Amino acid sequence: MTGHVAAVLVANVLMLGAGAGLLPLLGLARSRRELGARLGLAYMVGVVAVGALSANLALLTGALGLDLGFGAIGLFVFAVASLALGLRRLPAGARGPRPDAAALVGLLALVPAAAIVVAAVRAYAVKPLLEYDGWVIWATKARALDEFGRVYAPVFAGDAYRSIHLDYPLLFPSLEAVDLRTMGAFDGAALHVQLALLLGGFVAALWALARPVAWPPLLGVVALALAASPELLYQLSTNYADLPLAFFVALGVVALAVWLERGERGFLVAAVVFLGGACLTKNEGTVFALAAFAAAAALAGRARLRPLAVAAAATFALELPWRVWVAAHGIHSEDFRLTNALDPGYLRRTSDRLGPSAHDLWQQLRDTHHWGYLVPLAAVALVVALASRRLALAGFAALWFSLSFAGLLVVYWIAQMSLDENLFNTANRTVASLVVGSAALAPMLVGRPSR
Amino acid sequence: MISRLGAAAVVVVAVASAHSSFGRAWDLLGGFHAGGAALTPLQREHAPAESVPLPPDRFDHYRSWLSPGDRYWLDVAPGGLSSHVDLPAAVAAVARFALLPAVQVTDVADATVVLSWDHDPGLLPLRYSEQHREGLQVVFVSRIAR
Repeated sequence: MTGHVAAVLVANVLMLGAGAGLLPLLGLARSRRELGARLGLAYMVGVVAVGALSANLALLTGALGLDLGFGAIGLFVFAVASLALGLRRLPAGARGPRPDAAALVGLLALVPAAAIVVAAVRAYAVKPLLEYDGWVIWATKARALDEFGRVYAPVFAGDAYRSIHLDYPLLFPSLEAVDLRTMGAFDGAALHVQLALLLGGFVAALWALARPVAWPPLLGVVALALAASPELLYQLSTNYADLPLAFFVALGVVALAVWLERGERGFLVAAVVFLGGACLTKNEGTVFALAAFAAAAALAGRARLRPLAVAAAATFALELPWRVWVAAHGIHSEDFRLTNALDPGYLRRTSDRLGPSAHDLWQQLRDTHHWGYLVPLAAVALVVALASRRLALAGFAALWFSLSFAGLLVVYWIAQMSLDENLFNTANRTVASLVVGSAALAPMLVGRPSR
Repeated sequence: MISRLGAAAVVVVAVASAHSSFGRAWDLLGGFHAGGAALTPLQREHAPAESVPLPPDRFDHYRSWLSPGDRYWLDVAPGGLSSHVDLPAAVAAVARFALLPAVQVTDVADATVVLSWDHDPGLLPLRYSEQHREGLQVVFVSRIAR
């Protein structure tokens, strides 16, 4: 293990610590026992918090012209402060039930999933930056954030950098910039370790989130099916942001689904954290988050619309500083003009893009060779939910998936680049959130089978 | 009854998915490790430029004569490279990544340094305070005299 890989591991342990402290502060754990039960959530909460904090600090220091890069010291202080504040006066809580046989079977399924994560850490740690956008867009931004310690306008709003999608939000490169500062050097191979750790964090968070309403053996096997998906592991290794986005989206929709089922406020907060993280990772994250809140609103019932609206507002407020910065610097998407989506004339003229887009996206979704049977798994779970009259969750899952798919279609419809090239280069990646999100919802759809 | 049968059906699909994927996932990760472990740290550092493909030594040369705070303008002869990117765009992409914290600019008037790629910097209407050539190649780092 190189020193750089060790530095990434240390940074991520600190993110885990920060997340553990944030769980009580965010109302996700109300006692020490509940904290123990939901500790699986801690790492991914820490990742979103550190990424968002690093990105927003970089914006602030960029506006002030200061170089105060958020690195190992800032991360250490943040983790210690979170733990000290979060664990202070946290009651012990009532003793929970002992793990039953079903829980142990579920945990057993997580063992091979953990083996895949360890193998991914080992493999990614030596994999160079090869895939085009992985270094042209994401590693370049991470390196710039590391070098300048702030959002340096000559890069992040510079004419020479327009082709690196300056409109994309900065959570993912900010997270990698924290790793780079902890390393004290640029090491593109060691940077990949962050992505393997995100996979481990995703599996742990999915288990912790869905456990209260899902049947543990199914939850464990679904987590394993996700972790073992070759396409997921390949895309994760490219240093593209599509899989980190998919993880945040999936955890966000699962948290919303648990909230719909149980009504516990903490899960709505978790949805804000993860869907907010999705919005701060890629522009499509906002589409998937909008779809999730719209689907939840349709099924939550009138009494729960208010907290849901507050949660949606909080989610989209998280990306506000970035949107303000982008608008202030006159940056817009090089791919499309959003106003074209509201122009009937434009949509009519380009309507021939719709059919091929729908066809290609659908082909990607049903590609079981690369993804495994993740989408068929979600489809069977949906049928089971309908048959066992779990209509609210079935409606939520179907509506979120349909709205998200429609959102992607609109993006391809109004995109200005050649459709063939666009679909060829991106369709396998843009469906990642739909594949991972729908599979992650499957255990929720089935629920706990009655005896 | 429905829910138990349904849960069993979903478990079967999930197990089938994990079973069909696990071996390929393991092979994929093994391949990544074997390929990456065989490289030296320098080869890994050069991988982005090599993947385009462009000779990474030229970027090493540029980097060795640039300083933090430099703004560089790329002087690359027009030319094709592949089906989806031309030579100036490819050189610019690698430079943006590899030459940080020096910053790329699109107007030579904003630059402190000209980086030449198979193009004679003497043909530009500029005076230079220093120049560094890479061997016998037409690859120069030319600091603009102010």
